[in-house]
Amino acid sequence: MLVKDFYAIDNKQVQEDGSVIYSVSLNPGHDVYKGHFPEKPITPGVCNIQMIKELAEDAQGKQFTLKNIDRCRLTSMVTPDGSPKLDVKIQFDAADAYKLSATIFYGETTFMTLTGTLVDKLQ
Amino acid sequence: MSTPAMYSGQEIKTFIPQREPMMMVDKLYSANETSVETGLTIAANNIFVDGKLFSESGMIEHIAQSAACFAGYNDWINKRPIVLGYIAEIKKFALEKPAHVGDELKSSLTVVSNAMNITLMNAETTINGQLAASCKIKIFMDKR
Repeated sequence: MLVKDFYAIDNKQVQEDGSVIYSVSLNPGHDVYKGHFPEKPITPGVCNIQMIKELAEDAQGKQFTLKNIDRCRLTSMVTPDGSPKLDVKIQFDAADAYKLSATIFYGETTFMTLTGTLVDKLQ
Repeated sequence: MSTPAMYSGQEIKTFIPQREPMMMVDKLYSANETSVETGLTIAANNIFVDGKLFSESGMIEHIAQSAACFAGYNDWINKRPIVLGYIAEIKKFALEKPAHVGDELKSSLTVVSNAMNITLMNAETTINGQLAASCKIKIFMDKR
């Protein structure tokens, strides 16, 4: 994990269609919230993008760079107090395992959708 | 952009609401009603650094905070309070060249459209004059 202890994986479920749903808990005590923002802790959208990439790495057992994002929409705000638990669906294109689509949701609420292309980790 | 920055380091706090360890802009080179030029020198203790490598998520945060700098500078020059801004959408992000500790990112953002509290900007980030990343970013600003 790049941003250490930012979240914890509570559960991992491989679906029939090959996608993987991770259940994660955010860490409301993390230093990130001291700066984002001092009087209003809001989970940075880029930390959720980072989490999606790391869960894609976990799903495939290799390290990636998220080289292209076709589209990433942030549809609801994630806060460590208001939405401490999240589900993250990770799906790879059947024809191209580097093409990723991901959704961060919980119950009825969708927080983020992302489609993009991974490459083997660039140094 | 070989001219010195107009504002740098702690002065950037005038324009953006982010604070350590989440400050991803450390120079403001220029700003006006339609564009902004910013910089960030990647420190070894940057939260998005692993080994020597600066992650693509850090690159996106730098671009997002450059957009925040654009909004904040225009608020400041018009004597309005600085408000929180959030990423609403990122499109066509492409990482051309990963950044490393010691590199200076230089970013140039221009407004594509601006309506109500939503601003869409084109962003390009370079390292030593070479394109490192680009995207279109939509920022949602809190009501003033």
